[in-house]
Amino acid sequence: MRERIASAITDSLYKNPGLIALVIVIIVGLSAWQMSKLTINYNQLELIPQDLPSVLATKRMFKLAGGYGHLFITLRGKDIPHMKRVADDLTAEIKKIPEVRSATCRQDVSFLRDHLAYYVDIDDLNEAFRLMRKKIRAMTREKLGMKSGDTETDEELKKLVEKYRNVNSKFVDDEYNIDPAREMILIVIQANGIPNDLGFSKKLLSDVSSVIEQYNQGNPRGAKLREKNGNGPAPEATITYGMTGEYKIAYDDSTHIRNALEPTSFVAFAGILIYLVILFRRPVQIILLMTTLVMSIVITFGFTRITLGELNTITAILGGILMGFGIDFGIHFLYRFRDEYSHRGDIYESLRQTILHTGLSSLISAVTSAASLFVLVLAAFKGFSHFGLIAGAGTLIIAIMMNTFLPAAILLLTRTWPNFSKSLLVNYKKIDDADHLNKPYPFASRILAASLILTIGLAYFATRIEFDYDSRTSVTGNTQALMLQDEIEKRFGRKGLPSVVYTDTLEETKKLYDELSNKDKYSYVQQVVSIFSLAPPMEQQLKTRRILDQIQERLVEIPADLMAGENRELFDIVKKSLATQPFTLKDVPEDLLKQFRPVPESGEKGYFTLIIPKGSVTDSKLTVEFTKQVGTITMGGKNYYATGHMILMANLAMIVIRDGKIFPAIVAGLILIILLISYRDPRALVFAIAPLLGGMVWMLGLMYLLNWKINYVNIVVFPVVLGYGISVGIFIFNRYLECHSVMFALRHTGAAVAGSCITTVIGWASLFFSGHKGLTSMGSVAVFGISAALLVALTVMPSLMQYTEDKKILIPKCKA
Amino acid sequence: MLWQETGIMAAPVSPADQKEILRTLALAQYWIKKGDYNRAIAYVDFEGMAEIVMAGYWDKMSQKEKNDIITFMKNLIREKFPIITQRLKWLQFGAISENGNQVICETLAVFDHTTEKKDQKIQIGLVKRGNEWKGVEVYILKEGFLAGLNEDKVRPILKRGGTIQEALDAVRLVFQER
Repeated sequence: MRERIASAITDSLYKNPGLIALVIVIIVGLSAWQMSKLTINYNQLELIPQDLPSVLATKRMFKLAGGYGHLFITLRGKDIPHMKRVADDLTAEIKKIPEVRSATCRQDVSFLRDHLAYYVDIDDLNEAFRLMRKKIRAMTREKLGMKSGDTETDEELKKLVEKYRNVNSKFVDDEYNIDPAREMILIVIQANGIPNDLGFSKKLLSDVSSVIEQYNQGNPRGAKLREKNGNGPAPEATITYGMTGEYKIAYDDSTHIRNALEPTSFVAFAGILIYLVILFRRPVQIILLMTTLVMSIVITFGFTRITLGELNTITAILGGILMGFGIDFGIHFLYRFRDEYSHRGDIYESLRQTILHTGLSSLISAVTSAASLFVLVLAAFKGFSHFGLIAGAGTLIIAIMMNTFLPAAILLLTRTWPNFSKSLLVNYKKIDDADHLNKPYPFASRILAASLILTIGLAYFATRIEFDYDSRTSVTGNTQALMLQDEIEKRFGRKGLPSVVYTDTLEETKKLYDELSNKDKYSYVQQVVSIFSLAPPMEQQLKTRRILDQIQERLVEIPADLMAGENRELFDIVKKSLATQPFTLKDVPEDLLKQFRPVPESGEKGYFTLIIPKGSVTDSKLTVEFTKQVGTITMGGKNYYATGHMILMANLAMIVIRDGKIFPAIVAGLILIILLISYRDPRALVFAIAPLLGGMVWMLGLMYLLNWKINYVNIVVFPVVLGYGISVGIFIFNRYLECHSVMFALRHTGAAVAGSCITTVIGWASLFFSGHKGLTSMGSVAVFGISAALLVALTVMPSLMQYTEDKKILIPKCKA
Repeated sequence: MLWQETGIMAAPVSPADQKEILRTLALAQYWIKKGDYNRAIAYVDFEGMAEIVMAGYWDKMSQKEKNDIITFMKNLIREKFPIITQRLKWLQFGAISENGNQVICETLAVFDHTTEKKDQKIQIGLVKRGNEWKGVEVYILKEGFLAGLNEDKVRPILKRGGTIQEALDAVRLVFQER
């Protein structure tokens, strides 16, 4: 059957190489036309299932709030009044940018300042009272000429005051968004688009940069602004500025990846080319191989345009991956064809033998790899599902092209250019001489025993490998924007990005506020900021008032000259705050309330509640736990969904982790079924999947020993490693089945297998030069995995074949 | 329990007691002005003072420990009384009311105006020992001086497992001139 199919294909190719090549060229042309219309969708939000409640809620939130996320401009300098004037000027200019919905650098905080005492916890207020009394006693002792012996009260009081300098993310002692150290002013920008829409973010950042640049060129304040680059203030600048926030972070990361890929692509291409020259030493053959490969990629992207319509941030890098993986089919084909032609001198029979054997290996390898990739289509995360579809289709397309167009082109060249035929001849004397000796694979049992011990050991470590939840350590690295975000969190006491829940009525908002205030139930919530946190419950306010009365009674008696310096200032603020009476929401100024209400254009009249998590968005483990707690809040039989960057990131993490657990199992099962169908001999499975299993175990085990972890980016490499594991095993094993000589199989296939792996390893290793943590981790895992699979294929697998051959056990049926 | 907050639950004191209290305070002031501190401190209740300083632990202490602390207080006050009162020119006694176990006498401390700018309203806490009234506490800005020593010095030391001696050393340190 296989013989007949191989003969039929060979006949077709042999008779009509021009026609076949022409048809393929036309297909490539049409694909190129489709590919030219292919776009990259940079909106990462669209990678998540669109029917997820959090995504639907985010879309609604976009309408209600006119967008989500912030862009922060930080201004640093020593002259505070100068900084404030510049902040006002820039804010006014930034407001004119069409993409900007609002920009603020200050807010009237007099209400918050005057009512500060009512926002203080009762326990903290009692503590403040205690410290105040302690301070009075210490000062009295000093007044009496004694040693107060008190060094801690001031510090403790200061800590308490700092804790309440920020009420609902607003600083109460300065209307500007200025940090306690009085070094940084923040301009907070809200935009009309979403941070995940990288096109929008790019335009916003560019427009804001232009505003700053224009201001820098001529302004009435004599201000010289320089962008923050590294630590400390920029020289010759009156103000050092920086940009961060969701828009900047999302855009920087994608740009970083793109920029990182440019030099690595060059390194990869050059590395592969050099290796191919060493392997084949015939430039025309290399050009032929590369042309077929590029044409295959064009068809793949044409297919992508027709089926998916667009690429996303993950599938955008698939071209390179497919080239690295796909060239292997060409290497195997060309290597075998040269082998056959050098021995037979007959183009037709050489072609037939190559298609019969290498073609079959390619087909099994491609179908198995493609099937394992196609399974990913079922994944909820589009980063995986689209990757699976394109990579699966690409693998099949390349395998087919390497067994159709490449032979057709070889036939055409042999007929039109006699020198080409000569270039296909290779001196196999040394190899043939070695074949005649028919030596067994050396040290088979020893290698097998050693590798078995090694594999068991590494398997133990492989099971202990962990997932790295911190996207910053594993993926993005510390970019300037991320470090600035950290600095803002540190300086302004903000932790993490708030998530938002929308409620339709004031009653629901109150219920939600009470629900989320349950600290035991919502342990990952640091703070709930609601319209109700602006007016604490009356019962609490009355309790506060009673303590304030006690404090006030004491303060009245304190002679003014007892307080000096900073104490005097604090004393005046406290005295003013103590005089205010309990209040209701109606007393709160509209300017403070509007941040909790939808934009007027939305036509909605509900309220936002902000939930501030306990940590950073980059700590995905925390975001996951936080999302589990607040993602869906059920009250009175009704579900309320939290939205925001952190929730979306957590959903992404949960989907990746869930898919990451399910799909390897499905893929493993599928591979076994396909291999079983292909070989129809369970014994063959043991050999064919040895490099796959060994490679994976060694890779994971070594990763654990090197303290590497699986993360969001390198998880994408696993299907690629899986594909190699299958591929290398099948090519060597099929050759072995032809003759049942381990050394023969290795001599005639080993170089092609090694060549195909090394070209790929070079491609992936080029990612080490990217300077991007995520890409570097991708490269590391791929290099480790593919190298491990190759090592197993060239040592353990032959040893296993030799051992079973010697012991006459598990010998699969010969297909020669 | 002698240590009490002030200004709460104030109750009237009988005229006879008021007269006796004022006599006690006037005599104490007289001996202070005369510089006879040994006679002045005869109107001080050292046991009550020791109890306030050791509040929270007093009941758990042995009689020997209590006696040691009373002696400590006596020696300390005897030694420091001249320093504490050196800038005091005059005490002007006012209303007397009962507050818990103590009787509080509203007092204006008039200082030597060459060293102090302003006079200070204080309260003197007294307790009755047998038939005699004795001073046990001074409240400045409504904060008991000895109760403050208890709260700021003694309690933190004993709470972290320190010894009574360490606590008393800390009290002694406060009385050292700056």
